[in-house]
Amino acid sequence: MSRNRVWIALGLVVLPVLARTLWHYRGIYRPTTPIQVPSYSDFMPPQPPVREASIGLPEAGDTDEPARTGQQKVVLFDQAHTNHFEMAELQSLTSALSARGARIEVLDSSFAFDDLGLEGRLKYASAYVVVAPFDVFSPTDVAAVARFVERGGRLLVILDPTRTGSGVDLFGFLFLSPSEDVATANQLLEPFDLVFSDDYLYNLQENEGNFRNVLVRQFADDPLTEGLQTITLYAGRSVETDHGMPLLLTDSATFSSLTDSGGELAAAALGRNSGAMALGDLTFLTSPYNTVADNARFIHNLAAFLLGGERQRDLRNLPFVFSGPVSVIQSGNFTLQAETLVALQRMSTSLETAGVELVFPEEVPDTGDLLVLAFFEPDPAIEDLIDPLELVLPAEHSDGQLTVPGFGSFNPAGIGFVGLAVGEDRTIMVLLAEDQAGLVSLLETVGSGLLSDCLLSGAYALCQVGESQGFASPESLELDLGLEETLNQ
Amino acid sequence: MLLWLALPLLLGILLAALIPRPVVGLIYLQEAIHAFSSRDMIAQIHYARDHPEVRAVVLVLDSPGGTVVDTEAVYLELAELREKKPVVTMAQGLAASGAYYLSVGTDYIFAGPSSLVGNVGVISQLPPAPSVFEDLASTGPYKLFGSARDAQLRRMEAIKLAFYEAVRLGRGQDLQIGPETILRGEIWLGSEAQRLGLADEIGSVSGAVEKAAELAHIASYRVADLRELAGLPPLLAFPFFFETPEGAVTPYPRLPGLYLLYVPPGERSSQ
Repeated sequence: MSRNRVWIALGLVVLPVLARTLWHYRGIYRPTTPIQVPSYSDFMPPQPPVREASIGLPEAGDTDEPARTGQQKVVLFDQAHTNHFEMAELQSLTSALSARGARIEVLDSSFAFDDLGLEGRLKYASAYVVVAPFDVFSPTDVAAVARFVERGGRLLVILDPTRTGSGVDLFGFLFLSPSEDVATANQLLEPFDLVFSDDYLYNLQENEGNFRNVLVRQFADDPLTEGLQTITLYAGRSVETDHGMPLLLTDSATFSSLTDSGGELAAAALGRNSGAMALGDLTFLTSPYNTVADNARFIHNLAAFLLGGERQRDLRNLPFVFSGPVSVIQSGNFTLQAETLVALQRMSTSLETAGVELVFPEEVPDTGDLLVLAFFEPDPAIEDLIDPLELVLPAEHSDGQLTVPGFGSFNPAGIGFVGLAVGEDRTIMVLLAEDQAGLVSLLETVGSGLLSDCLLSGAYALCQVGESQGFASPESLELDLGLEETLNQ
Repeated sequence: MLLWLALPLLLGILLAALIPRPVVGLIYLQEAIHAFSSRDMIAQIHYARDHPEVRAVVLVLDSPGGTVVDTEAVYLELAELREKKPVVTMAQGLAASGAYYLSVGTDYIFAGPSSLVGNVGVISQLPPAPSVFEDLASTGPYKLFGSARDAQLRRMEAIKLAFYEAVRLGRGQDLQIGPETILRGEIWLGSEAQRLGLADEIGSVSGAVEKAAELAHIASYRVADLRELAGLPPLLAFPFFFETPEGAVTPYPRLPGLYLLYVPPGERSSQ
């Protein structure tokens, strides 16, 4: 009996405890899955790829480019359009150019106020490099650049999405300005079928330390990509072209920020005539990124591209057609008079712009550039010098007409002829007119440096040198080539 | 006569009264994660860990994230707590970047339909290029700045990968998207986040509390603010964000460093 009571008493003690426990606590917590945290020591900062091959850079003086005095190739760097870069940032490229014997010239904003202008400078430049421009090019300059490339010059336009005017102001605010560089560059590149996208490239799966640092391993078959296995671009814009050649192609995991989609986007491309190139990244040219992977090799390929153009030297390049002192050769009938000296002085001043001087030898030198002043009459002393121009002089015509390749035959009265023969070793410019006054007038025109009042066709120009029915209007000329085309040039 | 029955029962009732009513503790994070707010959170986590009546914890988040080190510190404390007690997240307004980092370290994530969730990634102001000063001497090229710009960029990448790993481990099979999407750093609506597996359910704080209680197998519990239970003083305003001379608070951190922080685009000024 008493034992039962003890059990009952114990039960009564336990019961409320059990009831409360079960009322509140219905089970024991066990994590449903193992609690896992990242193994932090496994996540190390990624390291840049090392250069994969020796690139055998050319030494200074070890150049395959022409090094003859006066023929040093000039690469013009634009800093006249509010360009967001410093020349020091391009040191790797300018060094590569210098190693190939090129001369670097910077076009600053003062160019707009001198006589030469952009067009004048493009007459002697081999290449024109435009980086991150924020000021528009004038239509005249765009046309001049297009002509420059058509005639063998090289154009390289580099943009960089980090140079768009975004940044942090004094108070720590991020600010973004419109991507005017894209519009400006596309204006310049329109003739070459090259278009920069207002984007940046990124790759979240495989990159060079950051999603915007893109590895490029697909290359078009071109000298510009020779020897490349991997290059890295540090925030690059994509480039589109319909008829040009995409050079640097990204993989399918590289996306454009504009669409968040990808698939063989081009980070650089050549235009339709291969003389113009659009490149979407500047940073890879700067230290220390210029030494990562095969970037140094690509930079040297760029330098070779810039110097690889074959410039057509013709009368449009005046006064930059000579490469050394110019000897003045006169026909026997030509006499030096006061007005002749004035015209020659003007010519001399014009040539000084190009760094060459006029000299007056007693005999026709065997080497060196020549300026031949003569009449339409045959002169055995200068016959050999005129022959390369393939003219038929009035004396050789039954009807007294002058025949000029590309212009046909016409009455030479009141017309001055300018011809340019560019040879391997020397350049000869020939000025012919009917008489002394015409020749002086022609010399003055040519000395002005611009043959804008003349009809130009490559190596030949016809200028009015007096009032005559022979040169009343361009339409009066019987032209072999399309006159319209000539006028448009 | 019935005394022998009443006394044991009374004793049992008294003993039962000693059994604490279970508590679901709430930890609020309604600002950036920084040294002070993280210290505060860790103190609450320790309280929950050390007090048996606290059977579950609900993390109520409305934060853009914060510093890397403070976020990771809280994350690791939460992981330890979860060994003993369930933790549920309620992404109430904003669970971005570092705040989302914390949420993936919990057992279950609730989000409001239009809460902002995600923004996985790291931001940092890069140090300046190494330079020397006449009147400020140092003993190494990076003594003043900590690292080269490039090294800082790569360090961010390592932190980002660890962040993604935390997401992957935390969300497990529920995750419907891969790193190529998550690491874009996008921020999603709560409803999108649920569809993508970044959150488990659309709900409220009440729902989160119920879920926490369910995971802890408790009933008839009470809900309490762990800050009050832990006896912590009110959190003093900490100048985490940069303020303009005019007194306007910007969304940018005041000090340079590595951050798991969401910077709302609308706050950027344009010039």
